[in-house]
Amino acid sequence: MIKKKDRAAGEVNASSMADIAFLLLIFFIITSSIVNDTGVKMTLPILQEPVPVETDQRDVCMVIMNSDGNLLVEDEPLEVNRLKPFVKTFIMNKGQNPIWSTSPKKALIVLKQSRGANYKDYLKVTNQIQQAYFELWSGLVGVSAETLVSWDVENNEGLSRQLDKLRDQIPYNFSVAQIKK
Amino acid sequence: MFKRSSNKKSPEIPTAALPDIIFILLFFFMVTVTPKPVEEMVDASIPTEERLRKFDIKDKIYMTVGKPLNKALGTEPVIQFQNEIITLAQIPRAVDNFRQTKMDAASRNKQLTVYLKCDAKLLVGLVTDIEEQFKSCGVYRIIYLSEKDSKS
Repeated sequence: MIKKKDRAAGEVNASSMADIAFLLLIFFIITSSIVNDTGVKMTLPILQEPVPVETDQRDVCMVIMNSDGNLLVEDEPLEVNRLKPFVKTFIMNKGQNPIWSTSPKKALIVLKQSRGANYKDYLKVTNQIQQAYFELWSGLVGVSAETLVSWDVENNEGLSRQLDKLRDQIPYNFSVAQIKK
Repeated sequence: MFKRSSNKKSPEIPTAALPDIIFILLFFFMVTVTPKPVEEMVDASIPTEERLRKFDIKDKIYMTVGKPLNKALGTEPVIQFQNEIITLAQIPRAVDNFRQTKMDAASRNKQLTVYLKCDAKLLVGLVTDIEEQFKSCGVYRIIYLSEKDSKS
């Protein structure tokens, strides 16, 4: 009989495995990019005949941007970094200041920009106004604005419904006025 | 006195675990990255902003607006729709074409979202014109792609 007992099991040489894995790793790093789709969402108005809406003039916050990126908010010049706090106080005015909004449900922010304005400035203003709403909503629900912004409302129905509830209390009334050519 | 033995061999570093470590790295990269969605034909350095939302939407169109990388096309901003360069007036037809060829019948009537990547130095007028074109063919959801501002 042939004895097999003493024979050691043959070892596979695994030292080149690291090299193979390295090659694969480098291949993947080069051919791909990390998904980085962050941005500001904008919903365009649906094309239809304009319906005249009865709005009290004091409920409308007019933000006008000229081609230099300077802002005129409620007929007063305002710096971009002070826009967010202003929008928040305007919406939550609740009739205190006689020239600002009567209630958060009626408040309306209108952005009107010059065609020659810079896209970067335009995006900044849009984001500031959107952030103002997010900060107001976060005050209602008790989570930080950062958390609220990170909610994946597109793919999570529960969160989407929660946000809709917040939007019922403070509606997202932000529109970009058409620029007349 | 302690005498160091001169013939002592320096201990070898065990490298048996190295393949495992590399494999873990490899799997990490394979999971976190996706292939580049579209080829870059346009140079668009997107603006930076603080506190942005992250988007993961299925039915989307990639559009880039900026200076063409191909010098033969001049230096005026051009529009890249998915993997081709088109003019402003061709947007509705391109959207229609996209719905017919890239989307299956079940999702053809779903809302499309445009991932709009615009160069920071563009004028708003052009962006508004693009939006008007999208509105005319029933695309109402636009995402202005932007990078996180590292300072804030």
